[in-house]
Order: sequence, then C-alpha cells, then structure tokens
Amino acid sequence: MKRALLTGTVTGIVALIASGVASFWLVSQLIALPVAPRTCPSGGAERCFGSVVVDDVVKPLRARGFVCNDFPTCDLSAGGGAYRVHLVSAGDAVSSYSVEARFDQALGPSQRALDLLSWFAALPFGHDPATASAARSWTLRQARARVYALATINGYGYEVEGRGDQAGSSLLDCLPGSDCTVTFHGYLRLSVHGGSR
Amino acid sequence: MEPGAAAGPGAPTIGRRTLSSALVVLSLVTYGLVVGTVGGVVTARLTGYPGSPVVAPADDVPRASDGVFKGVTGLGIERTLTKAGYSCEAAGASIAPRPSRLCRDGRTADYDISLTVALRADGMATSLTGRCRPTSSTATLDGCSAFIGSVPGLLYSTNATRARAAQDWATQNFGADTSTVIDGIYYVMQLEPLLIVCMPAA
Repeated sequence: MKRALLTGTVTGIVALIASGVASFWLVSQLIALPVAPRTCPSGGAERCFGSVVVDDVVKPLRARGFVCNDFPTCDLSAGGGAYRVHLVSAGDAVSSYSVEARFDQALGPSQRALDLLSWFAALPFGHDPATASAARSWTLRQARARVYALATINGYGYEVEGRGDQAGSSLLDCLPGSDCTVTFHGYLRLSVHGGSR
Repeated sequence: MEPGAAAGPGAPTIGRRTLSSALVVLSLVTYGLVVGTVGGVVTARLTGYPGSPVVAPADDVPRASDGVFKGVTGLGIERTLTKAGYSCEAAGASIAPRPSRLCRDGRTADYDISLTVALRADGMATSLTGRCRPTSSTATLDGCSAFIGSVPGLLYSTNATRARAAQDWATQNFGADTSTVIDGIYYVMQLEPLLIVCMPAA
C-alpha cells in the first residue's frame, strides 16, 4: 500500500505538471490567435473590433491630457504638434477609428506623432504581438514615405494618408499662439476599420 | 492438501490489495491531471485572455505636458519684460483657448512691438510669439531685427550659451519663412506678418 501511495503521488505530480503545462500552452495558443473583427453588439452591417472597447482608447488619451467629447473625439495641441483621435462606436464596441496629426511639413512628423500612429496601428492585435508588429511596421513605412496606402491586416482595413493632403480634415491647421497666421502644412492620418459583412 | 490450497485464504487479499493500490495510483493521477489542467487554463486566461489590457500606448505618445516650456513660467517672462520696459495685460482677441498675456514695448514710436505669452491654466508658458511692425514711413523692417533676434533669449534666462544658438538662428533667418528645432524648442519665423513663434518641439 505504501508503495502504491508513493507511485501514485509521484505519477500524480508528474501528471499535474504535464497537464498544467500542456493546458497553459494550448490556451495561450488559442488566445494568441488574431482577434478578428466581429459583429457589432448593435447588429447591422458594420463589424466591430474583436478586443478593443471605447475605454481602451479614451482612458489612456485622457490620462495624457487629450480633451475628449462624447462622440468620442479626442484632441490635443501640444507644442509643435496637433492631434485628433476619432472613434466610431456602437455602445462600448468600436467599429472604426482615425488618428490625425498636424506638424511642420518642413521638419516632418515628430517621434511623438509617429508613436501615436504606431499605437493605433497595433491596437487591434493586443494578443498577437507578431501581427501587431507587422501592422506597426507597415503603417510607419507608409507614413515615412509620405504616401497614400491601403491594406487589409487580418480582416481590418488600414488606410494611411501621408501625402500631406489636408482635404477633408477637421483638424485645425493653425499654429497655436500665431492667431492662425502660421499654419501646419504637415498632415498624417491613419484610419482602421473592422469592415462590413 | 492440493497445491495452492495454502494460498487459498490469501488470494483474495492480494487481489484486493492490488486493486486498491491501482485505485490509489489512478485517483492520484486523475487528481493531478484535473488540478494541473484547471491550473494551466486559469493561469493562461489570467495572463492573457482577451479583455485584459490591449496594447498600451508607449510613453512617447503625445501628452499635454509636452506643450509647456520646462521651468519657464508666464510670470517669469512677464517679469523680465516689465523690467525691460514692457507693459503687459491680458490678451483679448486670441483664438487660442487659453489665457494669454500681451506685452508691448511702448518706448519705440516708429514700431509696434509686442510679445504674446500663451499660458496654461497653471501659469506655465506654452508659446511665445514676438511681433514687430513699422508704423511710420521712416521706419524699415530691418529695425525689427534686433527685437526678433532677442526673443528666444527669454526662454533661457539662466543659460547664455544655449540662448546664443537660438538667438543666432533668429538673427540669421530674420525675414525668412522658415522653421527649426533648437534644444527641444520649435521656432517659426515668418515675414508677412513679421513674427517669431517659439514653442516646445513636442
């Protein structure tokens, strides 16, 4: 009986460790799968982000001093840069967002502006670092090349406007303090949407 | 007595022992498997299940504090300007959604010289705009050069070396439409109307 107890305990511990490691790995693999766009809670043709809710965006922006309204649209004008983030939401879920930055065209976008774009490029893929990194790289490549580009990354539609084209932008191009006699001609926009069914 | 008859009474005992030993081993292994699986799943979900924080913004994402000059208050600039003979008041018509101070140099009759200091609610300066305009037929734009060139110096009251680089740039580029970043400060020079804007580069 003692021998059985000893054998059972040892085998049980081995089984515990093996099954623990195996199930952890399996679940980790499953949840690391790209979070694809899903049907919005409100229904309709639009698809929402798999793992991003309004607060995931608005809270960190507010913490950084962006002023957000109820749409929600968040604005920040800080030094030689102006930024706007606009979300299209369905309740808590997000179906698309856009990030705009204005800057001095002659000096190019600041590291701050590129980091903001980079964050929003990676946002849908919080549980998939490889895809997040790919989305970041693609976005920054287009922004630095100052081109207009479209891409679909794991079901999400990406659009980068890097040509400095200001048409259709709601973000003021006035340089603060100049009473709008000096304007920011540099412009960058990243739009990401979950697509439609 | 037949062979094995002596073992007769012991045989069921051995069978029961074997069976109970097997049950003990089996139940301990089952227990291990169940506890291990539950533990693995729970740990995996707690450490990375969707709904846990998504990609967090990097520290370099823009923030409001990028927009203020480090260690430069509106009051400090105003004090320097007042000592130099300027008179300051609240700036009225400004599109900037923040309180501003307008300081004028009333000593130069032929020129309209002013400095606008944009402030945050806590009094920290967010931008400095110097303007100069000849107001008489005898005054020329060149007469504004010294003033425009001196404006960056207000941001480096304690460091003459750092001030010199910015002042040199302002003097050399006087009257051009250009911009630069020196020592973390963004400078814009414009000819029409003649002005210089200084703000944190962010």
